[in-house]
Amino acid sequence: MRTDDHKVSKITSEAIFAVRPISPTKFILAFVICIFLMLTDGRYQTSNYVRGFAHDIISPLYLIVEAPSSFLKKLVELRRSNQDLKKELEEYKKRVNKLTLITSQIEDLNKRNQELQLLWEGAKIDEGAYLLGKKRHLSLNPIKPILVIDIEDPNSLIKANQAVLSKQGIIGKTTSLGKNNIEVALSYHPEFLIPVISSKTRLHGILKGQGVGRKGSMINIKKTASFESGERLYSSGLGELFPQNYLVGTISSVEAMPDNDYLTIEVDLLDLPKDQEYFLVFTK
Amino acid sequence: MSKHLRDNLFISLSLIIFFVIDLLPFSSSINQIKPSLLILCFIYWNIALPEKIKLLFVLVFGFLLDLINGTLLGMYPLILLIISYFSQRYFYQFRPFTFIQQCLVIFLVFFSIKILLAIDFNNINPNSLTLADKDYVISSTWYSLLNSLTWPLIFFSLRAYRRRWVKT
Repeated sequence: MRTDDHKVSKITSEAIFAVRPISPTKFILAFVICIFLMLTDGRYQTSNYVRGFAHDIISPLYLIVEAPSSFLKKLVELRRSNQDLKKELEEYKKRVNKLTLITSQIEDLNKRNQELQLLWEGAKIDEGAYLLGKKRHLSLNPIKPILVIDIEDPNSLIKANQAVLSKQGIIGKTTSLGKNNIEVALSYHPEFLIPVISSKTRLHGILKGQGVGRKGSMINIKKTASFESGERLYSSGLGELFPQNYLVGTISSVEAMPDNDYLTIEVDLLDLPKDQEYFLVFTK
Repeated sequence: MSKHLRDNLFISLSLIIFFVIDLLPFSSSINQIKPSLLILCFIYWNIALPEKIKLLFVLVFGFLLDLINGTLLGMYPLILLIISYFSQRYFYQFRPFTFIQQCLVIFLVFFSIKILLAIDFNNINPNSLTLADKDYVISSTWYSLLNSLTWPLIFFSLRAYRRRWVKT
């Protein structure tokens, strides 16, 4: 038995077998270190340099979490007959043909528009500008939701603060990069700010997230601005951080409060990517 | 294998299992109120075997929780450190409590955690120190309530596990 395992009573000189908690010195030291880490992270976002790599390290845990659902999927697939699979394959072939046709039409249209010198540059489809990523983990932290994406190409030129796209439009921006994993702050994240343009009134503004389950808001919009509810908001591309013309949200309400110098504009952001597995990361 | 190492391994294993369960994906509404099994498990081990829970557990699992939840680095280690310190300091008083009293304490602990997590350290909202609103307080109440209701279940299951695998 170690000498620090028990105290000795000063009255009876008998051993007191009390369990010692974490020593106050260790507690205070650890407390100060934690506070220091939090303050530096809050001020300088220091954790963004390590988070991506840390996700690389704990990626086996994500595989364990995925195991039950992938096991269920495999079971369902096993139950399927060959005929079902053939049918599915046929459907996929049809869809591929359809998509090829649509792409060729868009390219054609793009050429014609360029010839007509229309403002079509924003919608130009450049396959090399996007990188495909697979969802690893979606954390629905009520205030700061994040998404972890697995990028199969480790030599890709992804940087921090680049747009991440779902089927619907822009859903977030990259915050921390690892070797194979990147962390994405979703559009609901309060640190997500994006310059937008409205579909009908063509007015510019900055959209900000407010947390999961809450609507986004447009900040510092003067009361003279004529935004309308129901208008769609697209990325304007100002600041050259996000690509332009991608859907970001829809205005749900516009109010002029008497005690506020600016308009209160609430925005329905795009749905959380719960069922979507693949995302595009803008790399240019 | 030494007894000390073996015990630590079994404690770590239980923490990892609950960590993985916490990682399972749910819808956003359920996710906001689902109990944090890892923290409950952590409280149990601090009360049951306080001498075995070292600072290393606090730091490792705290940083893991920070990573998974996207909170500021150091936030969860701080939460686990405070929980750990007070659990170890007052476990003699906590153990004889009835389950209703224990649940009440757990409720207060988890409600405090939620309030701490809402503090605006990044100064996102210049007008307020906290990012919590009415909805957040309601969901935090449900979250704390569910955690306190889960506590007896965790307590009995981990007690059975401890008696079977962790020799004291």
